[in-house]
Amino acid sequence: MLSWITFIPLIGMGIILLLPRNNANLVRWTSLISTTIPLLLGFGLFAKFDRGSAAAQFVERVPWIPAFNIEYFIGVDGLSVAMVLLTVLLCFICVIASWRISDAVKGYHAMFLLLETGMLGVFCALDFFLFFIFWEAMLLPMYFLIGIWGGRDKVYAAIKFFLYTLFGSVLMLLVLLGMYYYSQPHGFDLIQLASTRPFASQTITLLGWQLPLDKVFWVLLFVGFAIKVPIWPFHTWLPWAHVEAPTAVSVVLAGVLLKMGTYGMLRMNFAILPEATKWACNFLAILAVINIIYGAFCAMAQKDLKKLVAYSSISHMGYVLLGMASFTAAGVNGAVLQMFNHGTSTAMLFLLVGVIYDRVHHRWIVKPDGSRGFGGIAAVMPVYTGIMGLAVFASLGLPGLSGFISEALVFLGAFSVPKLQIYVVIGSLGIILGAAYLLWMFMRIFLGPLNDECKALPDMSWRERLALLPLCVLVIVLGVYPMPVLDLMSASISQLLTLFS
Amino acid sequence: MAQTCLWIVCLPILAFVIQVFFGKRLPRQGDWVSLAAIGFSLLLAIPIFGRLLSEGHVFDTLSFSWLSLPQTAGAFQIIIGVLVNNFTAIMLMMVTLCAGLIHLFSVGYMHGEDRYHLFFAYISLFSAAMLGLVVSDNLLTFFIFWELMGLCSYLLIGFYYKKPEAIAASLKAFMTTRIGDVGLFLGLCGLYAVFGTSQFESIYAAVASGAAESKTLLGMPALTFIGFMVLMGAIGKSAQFPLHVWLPDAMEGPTPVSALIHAATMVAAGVFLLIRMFPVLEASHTVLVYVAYVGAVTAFLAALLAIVQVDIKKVLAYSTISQLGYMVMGVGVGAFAAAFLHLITHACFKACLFLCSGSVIHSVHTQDMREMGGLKSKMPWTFACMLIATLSISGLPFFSGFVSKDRVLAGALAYGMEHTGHWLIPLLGFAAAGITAFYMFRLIYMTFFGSARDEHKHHHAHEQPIVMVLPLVVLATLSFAVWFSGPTGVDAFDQVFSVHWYEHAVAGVEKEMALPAPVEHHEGIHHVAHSLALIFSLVLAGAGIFFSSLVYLKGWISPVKLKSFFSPIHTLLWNKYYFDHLYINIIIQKGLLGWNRFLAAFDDWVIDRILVDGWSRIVLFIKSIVGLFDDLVIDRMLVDGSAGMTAMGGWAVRRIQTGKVQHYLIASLAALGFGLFYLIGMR
Repeated sequence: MLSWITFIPLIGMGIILLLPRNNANLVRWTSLISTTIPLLLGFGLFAKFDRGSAAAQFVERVPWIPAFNIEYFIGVDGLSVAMVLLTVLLCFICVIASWRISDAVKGYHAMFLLLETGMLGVFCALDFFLFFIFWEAMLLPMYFLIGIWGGRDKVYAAIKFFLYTLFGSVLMLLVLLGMYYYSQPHGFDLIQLASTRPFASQTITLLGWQLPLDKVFWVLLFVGFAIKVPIWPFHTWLPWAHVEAPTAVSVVLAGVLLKMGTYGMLRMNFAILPEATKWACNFLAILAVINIIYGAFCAMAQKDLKKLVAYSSISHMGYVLLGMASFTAAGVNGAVLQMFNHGTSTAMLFLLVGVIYDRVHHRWIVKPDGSRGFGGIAAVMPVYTGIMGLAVFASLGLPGLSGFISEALVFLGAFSVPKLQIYVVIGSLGIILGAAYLLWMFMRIFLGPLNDECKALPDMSWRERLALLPLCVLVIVLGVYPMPVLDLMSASISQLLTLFS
Repeated sequence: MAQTCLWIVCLPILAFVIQVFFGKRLPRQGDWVSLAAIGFSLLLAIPIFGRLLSEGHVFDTLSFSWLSLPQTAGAFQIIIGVLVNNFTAIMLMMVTLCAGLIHLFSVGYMHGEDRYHLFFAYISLFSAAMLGLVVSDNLLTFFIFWELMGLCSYLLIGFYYKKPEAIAASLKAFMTTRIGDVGLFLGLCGLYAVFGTSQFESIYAAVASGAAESKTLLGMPALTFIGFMVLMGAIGKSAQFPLHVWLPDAMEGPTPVSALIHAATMVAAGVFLLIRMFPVLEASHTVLVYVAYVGAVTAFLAALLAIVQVDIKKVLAYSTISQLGYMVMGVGVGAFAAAFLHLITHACFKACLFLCSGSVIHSVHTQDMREMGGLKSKMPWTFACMLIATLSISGLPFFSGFVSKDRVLAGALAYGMEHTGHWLIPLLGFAAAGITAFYMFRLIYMTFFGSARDEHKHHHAHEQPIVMVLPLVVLATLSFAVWFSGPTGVDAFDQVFSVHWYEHAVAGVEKEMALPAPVEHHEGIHHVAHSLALIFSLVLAGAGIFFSSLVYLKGWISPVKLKSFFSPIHTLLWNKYYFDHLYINIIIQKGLLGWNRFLAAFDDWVIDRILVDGWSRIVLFIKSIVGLFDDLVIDRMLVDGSAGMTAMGGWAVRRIQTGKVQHYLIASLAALGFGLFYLIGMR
């Protein structure tokens, strides 16, 4: 089943490439179907996933390149299943949201489906080599999606994204090779590596320095993943990529791609190199707090709505890191839940930014000349305002909506660790700042006297509402009762945490 | 009973959902949905309260696991549920009654407003949140509902969303209270870290057993940390100094909202929190005195501010802050039963005052008291109700405010007599009592007495329809003391509201909270303090009313002269002690926004352009050097150089390629000859 979920978009891409160039609607429908089937299969995955088991499920395992012990080995466990579900859902929504893309429709949807396969592959792969292949496979469509369908500075943003991520990949490649050579028997099996954890006692000599192998691996991997998260100071590609990317790509970028960084850390740094992770605990917590606070401060200064949301992502990913650094059940579950919840709430925000951008073709909260870009559009777009309000409050962690529970779990978990308490106190400033920049933005765009330029704006179309509906439902339902998602992950996380107790 | 409580909370939530999605299409925009929901909640709350009165005690719990995560040692669980005790029963009664009456009033007040259905949706959600908070048996759901009330407050203050002042006020309210909320949330984290639970019952037991004595959080005793964080939450929500700035601005909301949220219920949640957490505060030994000072300072400073206000709602707003200060002070000096009673009585008379002011505003279409005057005859019902509530808040005998305020002040005085170093606490409390009487009667005189200062507005003034007057009358009736202290001499009445019903209720709760018994020798002080406080507060209230009459009724002392005499103080008060200036102009505009801009520029220039793009420049530089090397050394010298050699060789070779067969033949023969010679020579 997992293979089908992963590769149906790729098949869809193949079909799209064969379709005639001038029939755009046929391309769109094909693309929609190719994302609907994985979504439906995702429901099956959700239903059948065994909540009690910590092991990988739906495993498919075929030798691929036996000479190097490389396998086609996929499966999902608690760490990844929620991410797979999030990915299939967001991709489905994104295809709906991309309906109005009109130039080079064929290429756009082909690239998008390739991207979906890449993302799903990363979350399903249990073989490091396969993981790396998918990881790189994502890069290419992303580059083109930003570089061709993006905004004004799209080429700069695309190249920046590409080079930056590639730099991370190179570090990961080093670890990939290193892990192969230093493990016995040589192999890339992540489950095997996590159970034997062979690197803790080994050392490596670099330029005459004798270094502990696991820490070297840890740092290399960490930087590789940190670029993706992104963790300060490796974050500056993100605002660029977001601002220039088309709406759907921003949604996927913030909703799914960022989570790959933290997912990768849990899968590799935490599971395979737990000793080094413990060693770096304080360091993680400090970076987490920097992310939270720094992202929030920068968000408040932004004049471009999309850039504000981009910096808010940086801030919110800080909570994930803080939860992870706590090594407690509440903290790590909260972190993974936050990955999911941030995926839904930030996807809502980006979709909503896209809605307004489609209408007025700018996103200025405050224009470069100092005048207001919008103002009082609640009067003409009440539904839009309502949904934006929901997204804003979900994002700032209002209780009753999904963001709160994950943040609360993160803080509860981290605060129960004495040495992290001070970071929790500083990090809690992010709760105030988060409310400040989001509500201030909300006030300047939606409330107050109606700006003359916005008088004729039509409210959201049914297609736009349809795209947002599932996310609205998720944000509310998981805010009231988060167990459906927590149940998926808690067993695996509990097992992972045995390494840290 | 606990089941019933769930229904009490759920009905308004249901009304909220219906109103948001279908309200616009329902007849009368669905105001009856919200009214019915709160009405049924009231009907469900009455039996619980009745049981408290008849049996003297109610207790029931209901809990279920909301969230459970396996971990190596046991499981991380969050258990939530309902706790019905005597305080819950009283609060339920008070909240449903006040909210119900205010719903009714709103039908008249909000008639014909834009987004009428949403208004009712929001106040339904608000009622649900407040009720949810009241019945919560743990601090987590308490906090959840607490925040939801913050949301409702935000939505309702900014209800007139086209008005810049209103939206600014809503943002200010949400942000200011959120600062306190973060504190409360950290306190919650602390509770989980120390006790592993946030259920009140478990915390009471754990505190009583002394289990937390040796634990520390952030280097201070755990209970002290939690206590301060809880206090911070209460300061934000109950608008205590220095986070009081949001409440006066919150008056931008429609008046029923001011009555419901910013006077009667939500702001009292902070005090209710302190009461629920009282055992923790008490056990920490250090926090309570800070609580008392916060309350006393607030009560005094806010009362002073109320004197100079000219907006009728602003007077009431500062009065609310001041009265909340009393409650907080009451908790701080250990008289939490008195504080709770004041919370209840205050809710009734303050809701009444606000609704009366709403009635006046609705009638004369201004909030400025300088444009009112002489409304006594035009609006007799409103005037009578407001007068009763004013007498109550001023603390005159036979009114509810007397009963409760006197107890708070007695508690403060006893505290001051016991700990003579803290004499300032009762002093501020008594001073505030006198000032309260002064400014409240100033309000009454300016609004209802004298001659009309704006003929046009006075001319159009009229009494309100029955849906608006009825709530006033009911609330005014509740402002009499008999409900809380009795006896009336009427048997049927006294049997229901027996003289000591409140004492019994408090005694029951104290037992649940497992508080240490008070030390015996304090009893004497309490007795003396009580008599003294009674005399002081009566004298001060009388003096306040007397001076107010001199200035604003008789005009023997000119307010203008008074103002110029106290000119520096007046300026200070008029600028609200410059708190807003400090917060908005200095901390936010100069500090926060400047810092944000600096960080954003740092991010853009230092990190992005220098550190990140800088690499590309370095690479480009290396590239150009390498390129130059490639061009000059490798290409020109080595590659092209070798090409030159080849060319030379080519030239030489070309010379012999003449194209004539004879030359080739000679050359071949020569080559053959050489070859043969060579081969032979080798041998």
